[in-house]
Amino acid sequence: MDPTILQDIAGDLEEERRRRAAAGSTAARVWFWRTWLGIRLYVAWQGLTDAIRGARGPRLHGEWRTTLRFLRASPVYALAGMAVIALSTGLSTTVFAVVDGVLLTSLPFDRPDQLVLIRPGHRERAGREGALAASGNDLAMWRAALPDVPLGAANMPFGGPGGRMPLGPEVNAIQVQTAVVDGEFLHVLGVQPILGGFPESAFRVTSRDTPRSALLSHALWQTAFGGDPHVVGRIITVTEQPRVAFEIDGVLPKSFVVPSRMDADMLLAATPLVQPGGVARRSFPQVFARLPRGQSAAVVRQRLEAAMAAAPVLSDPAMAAFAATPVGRQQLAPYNTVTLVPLRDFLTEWQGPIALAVFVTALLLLALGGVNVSGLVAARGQRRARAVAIRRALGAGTWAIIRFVFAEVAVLVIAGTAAGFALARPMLSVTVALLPTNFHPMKAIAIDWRVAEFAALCALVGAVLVTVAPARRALRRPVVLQGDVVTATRRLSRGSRVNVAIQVAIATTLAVGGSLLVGSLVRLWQQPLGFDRSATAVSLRLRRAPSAGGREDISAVLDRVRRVPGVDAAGVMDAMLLQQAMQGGAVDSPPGRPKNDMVDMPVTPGFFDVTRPVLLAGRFPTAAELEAGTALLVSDSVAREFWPGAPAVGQTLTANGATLTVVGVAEEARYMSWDYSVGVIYEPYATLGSTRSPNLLVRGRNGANPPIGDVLAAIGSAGSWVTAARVDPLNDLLAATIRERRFDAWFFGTFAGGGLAIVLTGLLGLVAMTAAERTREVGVRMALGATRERVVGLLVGETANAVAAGLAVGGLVAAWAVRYLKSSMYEMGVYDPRLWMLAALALVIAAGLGAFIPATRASRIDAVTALRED
Amino acid sequence: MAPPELLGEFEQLVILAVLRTSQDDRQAYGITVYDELVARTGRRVARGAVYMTLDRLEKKGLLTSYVTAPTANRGGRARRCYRGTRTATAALRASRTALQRLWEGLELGG
Repeated sequence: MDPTILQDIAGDLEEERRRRAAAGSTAARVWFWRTWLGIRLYVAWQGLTDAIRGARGPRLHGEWRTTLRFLRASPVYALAGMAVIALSTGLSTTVFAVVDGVLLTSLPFDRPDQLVLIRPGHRERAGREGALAASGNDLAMWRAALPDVPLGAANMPFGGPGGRMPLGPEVNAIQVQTAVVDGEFLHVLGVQPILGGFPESAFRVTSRDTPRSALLSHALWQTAFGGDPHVVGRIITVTEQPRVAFEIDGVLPKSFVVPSRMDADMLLAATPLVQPGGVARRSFPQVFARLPRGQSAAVVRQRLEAAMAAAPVLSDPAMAAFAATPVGRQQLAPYNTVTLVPLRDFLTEWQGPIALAVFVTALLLLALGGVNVSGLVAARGQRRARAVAIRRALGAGTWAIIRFVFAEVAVLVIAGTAAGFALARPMLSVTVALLPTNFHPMKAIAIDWRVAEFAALCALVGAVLVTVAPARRALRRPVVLQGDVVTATRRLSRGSRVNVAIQVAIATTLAVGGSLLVGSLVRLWQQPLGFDRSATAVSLRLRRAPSAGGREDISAVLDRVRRVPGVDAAGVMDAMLLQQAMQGGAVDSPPGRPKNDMVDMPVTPGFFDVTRPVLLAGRFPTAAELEAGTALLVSDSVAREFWPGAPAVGQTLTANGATLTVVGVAEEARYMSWDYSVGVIYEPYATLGSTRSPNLLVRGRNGANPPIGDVLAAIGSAGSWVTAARVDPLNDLLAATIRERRFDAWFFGTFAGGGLAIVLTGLLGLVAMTAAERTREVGVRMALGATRERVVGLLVGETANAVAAGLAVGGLVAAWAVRYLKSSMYEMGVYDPRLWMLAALALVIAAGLGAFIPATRASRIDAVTALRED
Repeated sequence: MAPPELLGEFEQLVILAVLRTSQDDRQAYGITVYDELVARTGRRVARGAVYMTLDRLEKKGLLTSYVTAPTANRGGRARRCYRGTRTATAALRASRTALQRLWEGLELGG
């Protein structure tokens, strides 16, 4: 295309960008570059296809044929090149598909640059307090003071069982994540439902018998309701709470995502019963604002702070009384400052750095693939020298030679990219399955057009970059047909050695990162849990005020469950099980010994039979002692913390006025999270004032899973006051607590494996080609008495220096880069010598195999046959 | 005189978009032609395809172009606007007639 036309197009796009900038400059810039890139790619692609069809003349057409013939004659080179490109493209495309929705996609809201999250706080504790939430009072005060600033509030989903609710049989009892929003929420975001919408009255419902108004996400509408266009008006219920019903009042657009760290399947209208924030800070809604035209975030912030200074009052009497206590003063002092966080920053502050790190690593792998293929193509240039010389002798110009080299690279790149793209689909499935639950991209993770554009761009840029060095070398060669053009440069050239060193350096960096994260995960897996993980947990919900602190109710349930055939043991613990949260309890610590890093775990008889903690001293409390509330068990760290230097067994502790005797010490147990060990005080359920989070733990007979259907029926038979909220094998709950670690290890481990495979494949191809060039030399050496070992040593030795240099440089880079992995390591440093040695060893083995295999093949040639070559 | 050239489907769409845009007293350039195409056909069209087709049609003599004065809001660049030629209208008519003849008397079942 004529360059002046490209200027015209740039002008058109600039004009359009400025027009769009009124709605958000970042989005307009993103639009400009994306469109510009799309047009350039389209034009380049059309040019390429025209050229292939011979529209640009028969010469290039002929080059394609020559190229294909050359590649058929060198299958090792062709396959090595394509495999490297496929691997690096597959991995980087997968990563792009994941991070695109976090880093690059514009937010799916109207003029997103004007949207901010309001984070209130206390000026005097600036930098020392975490993310705080506004209350209903704050929201009302801000709305009254700034009527021109649209404010919307939502209680966002927070994950875990608490944020999900199973819907009734109408939708096959699936679990859905919900967010509760107020009447302004969608208006502020500029989102219009595709079906229906919240009626005005939805936010004024005051009766618990009236179904709550709900909007379905597009995905839930499609999966649970089959995209039914008449879904509006249907009533659905929550399985565990028969009285709670929802009326579906609409469906959200496909592109809509909740501006939160977790997605929601359903938006519920906030009613006065469950108004975000209630009447005071009883719940924690997030408040979003749309900055009015002409008002910057700083201006709105000043106005909000002025309003807060004028009305620092807590109107709820109960909250005001609590605010007068020392703890209340800390937690409930009226806010006096706010921070306005741009919505994009808020949504990416947690996952943005992770996504960026993974993306940069993927680009590094892509670079490694590029360097590798460049080395292969350059080394092949030696064999191609004669063909180039003939062309130049026949009058081929510079562009003709570049086209000739580019055609060969393009074939490799197109075939490799296609294979990599096919590889990306299964890899993405695995990746999505491993993603942490709180990884919340702004669009669906899929191989879509944007991902295809990225792969095509990588292919195009890669092909051009990889062509540069070999084309320059081809052009520099003297035009000599007769003579030793080919044999003059038969040793592994300096350029090739530098190329190998760069590859090894990049692969070393990737291998060190991967081995650290995988090693850290393996170390975690090796940690003793302190309990038997083969049980199944059933989270219970009680629907009435429990009698005697819930103990009698729970005993009734336990009796029924224990009678179920196939159940070996059952017990209840009242604590958040594997929810990465700690709860205090009734047990008082000895004077001067604070309860740091320890949890109280009220347990019933039968609990120890199910979880089988490892006993270090004493014995387990008996059923009678647990029923009577007279004995308890502590874990090792609690014993050392409370009674340093003295035996814990026989000591006493108090709880709710009662005295309990420590009868045993158990090993530490990880009931909070797989990667966090805390001290545990196993106190009798009898000491508990009221139930909090009862979890029924059941073990099946003879190692089999317990008959869960019968167990649930037994729970149901105890009465409608108790229901099973969810059922999870302990193994699944444990695995969920380390999803982020598994995700990191999977990604970086795969990168490391990919890096090693690329180095191995690349070196294999490089040495194979060099050895093939030197068949005659090998024959002469062997005819003169060189042994096979010596020939292998010669060929492998030529790469040794380059590999050593690459290891050294890569080691230095890795030593600097691993500091960013510190927070991801589990109880080990980022300079763990064993893992570094492992990475280096893997590199040496990969590089050694890459050189050794083709060298051994070359050394097997018969001397007489070799001398007939060339 | 040779019969007018028959046009491809996308070429017809682009020429029609240029003619419609010019008819409404607007300038027919890349952005407006693209907008007209998308608005009228409801199809997702690659912008690159629109620009390449405009360029090709001009080379074929079916469109002519002129440039306006450079403006600041285009980064100091001129705007290239297109007009349909008589050849284009003749080719459009010929394409439409050919299609109509092919449709005459044809009933598609099912």
